Amino acid sequence: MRLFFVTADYTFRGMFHWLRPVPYVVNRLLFPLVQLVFFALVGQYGGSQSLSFYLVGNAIGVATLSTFGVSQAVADERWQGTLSYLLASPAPRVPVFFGRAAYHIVDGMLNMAAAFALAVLVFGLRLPLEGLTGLVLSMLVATVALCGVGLLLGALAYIFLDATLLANWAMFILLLLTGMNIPLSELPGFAAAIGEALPLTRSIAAARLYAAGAPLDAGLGLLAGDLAIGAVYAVAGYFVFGWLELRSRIQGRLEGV
Amino acid sequence: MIGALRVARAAAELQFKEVAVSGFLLFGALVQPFFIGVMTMYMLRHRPDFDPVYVVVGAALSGLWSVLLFAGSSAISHERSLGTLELVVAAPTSFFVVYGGKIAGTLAFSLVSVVFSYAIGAWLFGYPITVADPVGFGLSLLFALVALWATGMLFAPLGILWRTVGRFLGLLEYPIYSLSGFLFPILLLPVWTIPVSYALPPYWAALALHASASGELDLLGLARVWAVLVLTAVVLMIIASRLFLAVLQRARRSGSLALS
Repeated sequence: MRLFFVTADYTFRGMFHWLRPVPYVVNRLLFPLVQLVFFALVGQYGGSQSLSFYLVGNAIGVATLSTFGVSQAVADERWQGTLSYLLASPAPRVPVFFGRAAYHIVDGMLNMAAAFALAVLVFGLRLPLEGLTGLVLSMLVATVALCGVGLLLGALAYIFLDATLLANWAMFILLLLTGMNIPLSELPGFAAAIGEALPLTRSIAAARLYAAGAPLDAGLGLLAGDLAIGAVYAVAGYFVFGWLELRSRIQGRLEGV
Repeated sequence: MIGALRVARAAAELQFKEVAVSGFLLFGALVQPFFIGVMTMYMLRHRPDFDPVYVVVGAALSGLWSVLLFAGSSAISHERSLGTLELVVAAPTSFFVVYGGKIAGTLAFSLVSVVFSYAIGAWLFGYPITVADPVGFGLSLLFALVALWATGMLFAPLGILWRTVGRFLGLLEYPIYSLSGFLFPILLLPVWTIPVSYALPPYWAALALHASASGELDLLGLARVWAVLVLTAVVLMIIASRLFLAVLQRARRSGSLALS
């Protein structure tokens, strides 16, 4: 546990590039908010769904930013020259690997809270009190599940080299296929099927239920599904990371590729 | 003058080659407009007055703007990281000319997003994509590129003179999509933002391209928009040239040509 939290702390502070508040505010707080405003206004102009559909979807969708931070935190080990030390250390890999996502979960929750505050204060989104617990739970599950995607992307970045580019791909795929802006029923069958296999799809659906005042148990099944999908991505990331580590040892290339 | 143009062309060609192999900028020019185009096509197609050309033009503009924003604002820091900035600044050719060429090269590359956005509408969705006024559209695109080029010229000196401003430049992607009416009318925005939109060259660029594509404006109306585009381009170029002078003077005074 100590290793888990030490990794979480140093990863967030040291490898996340944001040791000062200005870049953090720009990248993690303002960027998702301006993205939310854009898609909410396009949705409002389109008029096929209610404004709250877009506001809730995109406020939960702010969690996609977590994939950037987590994947960067894993992939940057190589760029900063610390990967060799990490691979040579006797530290157990589970806390080292999963610890990288820990602070991002808290961070993702803060970002989503800011997004919902904007939706309420600027767009007049109404959130029923009875749905708030479920909404917070949806936010938590969304960010945990997306940290799983981030861990997988971070591990894959040892092969594909550019974690930011991978995270950008992931962000736009999630924007398109998770029902954030387009109901899955409107997408072609294959695209909807991919959407069903992505984390966030169910968290967004659950959040919309709670935002409409549904009781807590109405969305629990959806959230459990998203949590399971996120776990699959995270475990897949762990195994990819382990496989790359093994391969790098066999080939005598401690930089992973 | 001819010598300066030759330098600008060389800088543009080099910049074009650099950005054409940058994964990040290829993403901005091709992938991002693809996703934005597909999403907005789905989001807007239920409108009774839906026009797919509107989405195609809007998605293309988003690609143009994103590439210009990211390549333009990072052009000088890129030179700095390569260690070539001192050589460029010390060369007898004006730094303004070299940077102008680089922005022109960036814009030339970003034009692929126009072609790609057309392909989304025509091939992926099968809509008939026809431009109502092709000549007007071509001229609008030309004037839009001039105005966007002048806007891009502001990025580098702003980012160097005020580092915090530089950090916020990357944030201007979606706000400019919104304030310039790329994919929805600015009337949806609060009234106090309308004057801000009017002050932005991308707004006039979007107005000219949307209006010529749909045939909403006649030649006189389009000419007025083109005049505003030229005017904003001239004003921005004057401001940018002053800022470039300030950057170089400050760098020479402090003896830090790396501008760090």
